[in-house]
Amino acid sequence: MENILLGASDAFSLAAVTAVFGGILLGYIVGVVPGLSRPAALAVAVPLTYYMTPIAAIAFLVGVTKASAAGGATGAIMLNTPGEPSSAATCYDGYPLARAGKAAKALKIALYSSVFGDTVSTLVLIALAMPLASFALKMGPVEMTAVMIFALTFIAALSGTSLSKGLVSGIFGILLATVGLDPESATPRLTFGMIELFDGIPLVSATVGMLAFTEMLVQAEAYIRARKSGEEIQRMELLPDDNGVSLKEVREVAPTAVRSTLVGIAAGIIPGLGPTIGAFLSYVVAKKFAKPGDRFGEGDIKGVAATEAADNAVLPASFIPLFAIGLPGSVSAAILVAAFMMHGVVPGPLIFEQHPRLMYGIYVSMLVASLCMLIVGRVGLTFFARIGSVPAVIIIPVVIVFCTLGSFLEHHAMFSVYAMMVLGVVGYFMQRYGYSVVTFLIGFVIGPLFELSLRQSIIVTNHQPEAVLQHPIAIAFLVMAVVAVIFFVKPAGKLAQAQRAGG
Amino acid sequence: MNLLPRMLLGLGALTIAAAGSAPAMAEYPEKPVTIIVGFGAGGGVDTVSRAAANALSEKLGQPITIKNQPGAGGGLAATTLKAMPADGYNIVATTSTTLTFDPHTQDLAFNVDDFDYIAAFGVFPEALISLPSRGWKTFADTVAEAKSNGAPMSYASTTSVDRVVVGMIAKQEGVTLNPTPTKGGAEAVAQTLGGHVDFAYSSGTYYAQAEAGNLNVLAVFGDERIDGFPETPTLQELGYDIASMNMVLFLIPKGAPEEVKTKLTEAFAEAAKDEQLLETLKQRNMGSFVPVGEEISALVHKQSAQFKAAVEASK
Amino acid sequence: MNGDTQGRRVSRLPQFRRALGELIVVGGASLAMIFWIIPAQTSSGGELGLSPQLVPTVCSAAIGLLTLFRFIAALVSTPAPEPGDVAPLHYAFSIIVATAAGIAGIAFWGWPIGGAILSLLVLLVLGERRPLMLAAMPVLVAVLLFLIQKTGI
Repeated sequence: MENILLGASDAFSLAAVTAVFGGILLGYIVGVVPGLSRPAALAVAVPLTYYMTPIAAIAFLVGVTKASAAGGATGAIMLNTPGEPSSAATCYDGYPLARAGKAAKALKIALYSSVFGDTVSTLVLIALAMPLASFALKMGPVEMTAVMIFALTFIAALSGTSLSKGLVSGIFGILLATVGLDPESATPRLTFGMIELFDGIPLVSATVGMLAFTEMLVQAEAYIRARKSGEEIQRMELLPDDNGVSLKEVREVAPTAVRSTLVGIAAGIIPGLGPTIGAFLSYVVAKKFAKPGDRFGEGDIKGVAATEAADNAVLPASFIPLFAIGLPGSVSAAILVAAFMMHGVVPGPLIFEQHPRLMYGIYVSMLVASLCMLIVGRVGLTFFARIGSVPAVIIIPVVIVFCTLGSFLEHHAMFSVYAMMVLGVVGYFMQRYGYSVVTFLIGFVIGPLFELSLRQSIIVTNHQPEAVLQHPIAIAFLVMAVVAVIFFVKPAGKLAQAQRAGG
Repeated sequence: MNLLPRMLLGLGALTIAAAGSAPAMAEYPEKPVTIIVGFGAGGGVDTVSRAAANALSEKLGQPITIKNQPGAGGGLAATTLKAMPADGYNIVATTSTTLTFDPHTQDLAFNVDDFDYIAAFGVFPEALISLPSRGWKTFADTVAEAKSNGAPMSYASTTSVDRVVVGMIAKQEGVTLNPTPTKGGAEAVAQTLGGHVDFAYSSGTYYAQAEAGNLNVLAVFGDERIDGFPETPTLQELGYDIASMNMVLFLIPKGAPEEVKTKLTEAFAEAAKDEQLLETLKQRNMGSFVPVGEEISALVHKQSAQFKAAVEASK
Repeated sequence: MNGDTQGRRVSRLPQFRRALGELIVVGGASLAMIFWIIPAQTSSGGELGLSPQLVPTVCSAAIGLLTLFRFIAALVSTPAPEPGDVAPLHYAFSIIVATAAGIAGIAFWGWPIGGAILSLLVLLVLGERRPLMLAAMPVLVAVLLFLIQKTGI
């Protein structure tokens, strides 16, 4: 008890609160600006923390990661360009809302869902870290392979009416993700002799290129065309009414937000899934729970709530294995390990016995961070809701500059910038011919995890496929995958038929 | 499509080279010295390099700039360094196996003879680990069980070094020890804790778990036992003719003036006694082995030859 | 069936040509991957789990087969309504060239100058001709990038 109070007082110290606030501010800006993303922000933030006290350092990094997830929705809603890959699915409903003049409403829903998901997930972390962490350890190679197969079915779910095109772009994502050193034999694959490709195509280059740069090319093209044909270039003005969030809407969105938070927490605990997959999964779930009258994909606030609540719930949940047993569940958590180590704290099963005051301080700081996020986000959105009235001729060059800067920052390498541009061009052609860059991204993220877990499973089971029968969790996920495929493919087929019949 | 990035890359390298070839210097060092860390910020190599930077800068009388250039397990930084002028203003910090091992198994643009070695700070406490419930005290028990039961065992692997070392042991003992590739130390430890593999190789992540009694340390890769686990034998003590020592190695391009090398070696020798550095090494359980100058140079070449033989043998 | 196809027959030709183009480009790329690029760029053999070539080859084959399937489907199905007219390719191409030139500028002259060039070129390609705009944006971008660089990034 004493330690809890001491920890809390540390968390409320000026240094710690300043660090949290600074982290939130930095993360939020990075989240908002398309092209700048979380890995880039963390690469910049980690060296800064060398000079901070342990609690301030960790609070700062937690702030950056949390707020970048929340800020990512802004670009998705205002520009159809997600600030973070995990907000890619927010575009589906956020951008139509903004085009309909309801940008501020969408931003508010996104912010409140983010804060809700984040706070609930943080409380779950504090209360249930130990039992949930032991679940994380049960996820061995066989279980992970099943989870990845399940996750790959989202490619089908998000393919919309053209399943075959969705599959092509998803598989193309898996293919490009195989570039780099083969994890098993440590031999280079498809690297064309370039050592820069040994670690694969940089994820930031792929996400920034495919999501942000591609979208800028599309918007630039539309802008040039409109200007040449002398059309009025339309701006998105805010509707004076209908930009608040009414109690009725809160009640309407609440079940979705709760469900999505749970999905996000589950995705956080399972190592490797991460916020991008969590957010997509949650969007698919929300869509499947849709009631008649819901307009997913055309500007439904539930769609925004679903992705943002899940996106933010992933992060605190991914700290569960870290704080309980010292093993990071996500890239962001791995960076926290580094921050702990820098300050002489070794994350592990004894961390609460050895550093109780620090750990309780971190818990309190995480809650303080949620509050800061709400304040910064609420103030910020009044400005950002007006981005829609900024002329495209200003937005496009600025975003392109940030795309180059953002892809450079993670590894401080021009190679990442070149890769970003090449992938952006590829993404442009994919979009032009109707191949989704979003399903590409899902394939690109899940592909390598799937390949690795499959190899691990083959080795640990000694090439005996029937060994899967001894893994009940894996069986459960495989059954879910089969059900999901039937569920996803069927309505899509019907819809296509209906369209053909009606078209 | 690959031409453009390559061309741009080449042009970029040219400008860097042009900017670096300054006129002959008065006395080294007359401008800040850069340490290029071959791994990301916050990792072991990065932390050790930063801990050493203060003392180095005091001794050299110039600020030390730390840059991170992660990629290809330190290989990217080494490749970049090879193209830089041999003037002592650029030092790469990376794991020693980047130089002593990787060139034997991968088609890389550099090898161990392309650089001069200034110092190495600390040894990673690489070890083989397992769940205590397996009842193995040392790796000899593991091998005995594999022999008596005849079934193949699987272990979580993180680097090609451990694959070669364990492969050599398996060959010598006539048992099957199948490496399961993982993304890194944390995953290897988690798979061991979850009972998904029989044992694992880990370069240091295991330490806190082993300290808490959740893992047994079966064998040490280096040639000295690890602080905190005095009961655990080294591989050499178990009768295998190999010691894999992975250190935080500092190198410069070959061909720097003698005077520059001497200055740097002196500065690193001074930094090796620095309190802050030794404290950092202790926190990371990296011991206190800090060879400089000739000593480290000889050790690097010896390790390289040893690994070369091991790689040949495992083929 | 709907009245549209019964009334006036929509020509199948554009759809056929589109599908054939896709088959040649995508199918050709997947064949090139399987028979040439993957064997040349990956090693094989000696593995316990999967061959390094397996996943890339399976992916390439799947893409090729799906494209073939789409081609056949296009032959037998009724023409889908043509997507609205697409913008000529050189609009996007001009932006790509401007970006590439800007990135080359960054590689040569660093972030502030290169960034200014990048934003100026993109502005010009977008058709911006107001002198104030053409002057102000590159300067602001250069200042911003300079400040970011100054803070040690």
